Amino acid sequence: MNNKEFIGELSQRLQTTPQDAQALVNAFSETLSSVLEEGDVLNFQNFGVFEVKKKLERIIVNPSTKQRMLVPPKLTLSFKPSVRLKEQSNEE
Amino acid sequence: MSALSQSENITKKKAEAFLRAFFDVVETGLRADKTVKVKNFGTFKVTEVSERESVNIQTGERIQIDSHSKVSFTPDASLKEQVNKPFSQFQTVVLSDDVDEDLLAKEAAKLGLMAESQPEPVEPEPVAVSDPAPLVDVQTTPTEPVVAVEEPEAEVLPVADEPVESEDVAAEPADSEETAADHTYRLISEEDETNEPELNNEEYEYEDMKPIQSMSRLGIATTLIIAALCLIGTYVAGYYDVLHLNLPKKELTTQNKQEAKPVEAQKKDVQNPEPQTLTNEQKASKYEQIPNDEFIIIGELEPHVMKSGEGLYMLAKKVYGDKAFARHIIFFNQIKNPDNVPVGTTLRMPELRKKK
Repeated sequence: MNNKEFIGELSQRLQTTPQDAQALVNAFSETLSSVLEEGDVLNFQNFGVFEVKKKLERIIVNPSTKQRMLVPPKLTLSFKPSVRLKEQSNEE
Repeated sequence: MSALSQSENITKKKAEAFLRAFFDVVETGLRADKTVKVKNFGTFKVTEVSERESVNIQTGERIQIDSHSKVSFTPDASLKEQVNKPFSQFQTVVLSDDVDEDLLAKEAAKLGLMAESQPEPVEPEPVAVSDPAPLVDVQTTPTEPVVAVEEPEAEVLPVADEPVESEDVAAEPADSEETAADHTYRLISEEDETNEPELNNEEYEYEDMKPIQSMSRLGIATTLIIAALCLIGTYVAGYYDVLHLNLPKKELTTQNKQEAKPVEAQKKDVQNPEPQTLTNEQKASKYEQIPNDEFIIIGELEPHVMKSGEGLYMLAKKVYGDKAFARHIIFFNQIKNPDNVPVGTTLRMPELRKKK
């Protein structure tokens, strides 16, 4: 399911135009990221948890050139599905 | 949720309805075709995990984990960046010294020890001992490991420190290595910067930024250290003679006296080997080497500008006579994608010698 299909389905359910639905989704992702930026955990009942995790810096080696690179630390967004979502995906 | 309703000027009820619909659609989409892509947000995916065996940590029992599917979420690039904002100023840094040098240093240290302990006691004849050739070898080898040993210390630091600092630390060893060739290097690097910023190593930028004073200081420091180590090496070697030859027979003390002269003469040789003639090893220590390779890089030839239709293998065949040398060019220029070197790239050409 690509974005177009997703927005189409969403707008049908909300009984709005696809443009409005897309705007809502954008607003949602913005709100989500602003909440996550503060290091908060976002928990959605029956869906899952969005959480920012810190990855430490590390040294990687390019196997072909033996070149060593220092990868800086970074913050990544992780998603952990809820038990219900997991079960649902497992049913098939 | 209230934050969402505030930002979009909609009622809480509406926001809730939206979220419910949003997640509902994601779920149905996942069920329908396993992936749901949402613009500006990310991709939800269902992936199959095949069954595997595992061991219960507490009991040591073998257990079978059945195949199942899991839901994964990959955030969109824009969302990823937004989340990573506090750390966005950091970049991946190429470390100029690699592990291989560490290994090389160990090997060289071993060789140095072997060379120091073996040749003199084994050869009882004064003629062989007075022959300066093997002794000079003994003296030159110890200098290499010590120079290399200094670098790993600097290397360890970046792991603990902030990366911004570590960039500087990583760049420094490179500076100290390139003592004599510094000026030529900077000229070449400046050319590189103007021609092809893409291929340009970060080392160069730091080199250019650094005041020339500190570089010359570093250079002087390293040469002084090398000279001091040479002297220590000669003394240690001299002691070896005395210790080994005194203990077994006192008759050999006469030989010792004879030997003392060559050692002293050889000291003079060792004291100023750098300004006179650099051996290939010494030249090679200035450059990063390909580990376990038959050929060593001892200098730099005329830089080459890539023309259209030219490949690295062709170039290697033309310059060195065999396309196998392309990997030296690749290594020397730290080319990341050898299959695609843009036209107009200035390549530094290594001068190669076969290892003895």
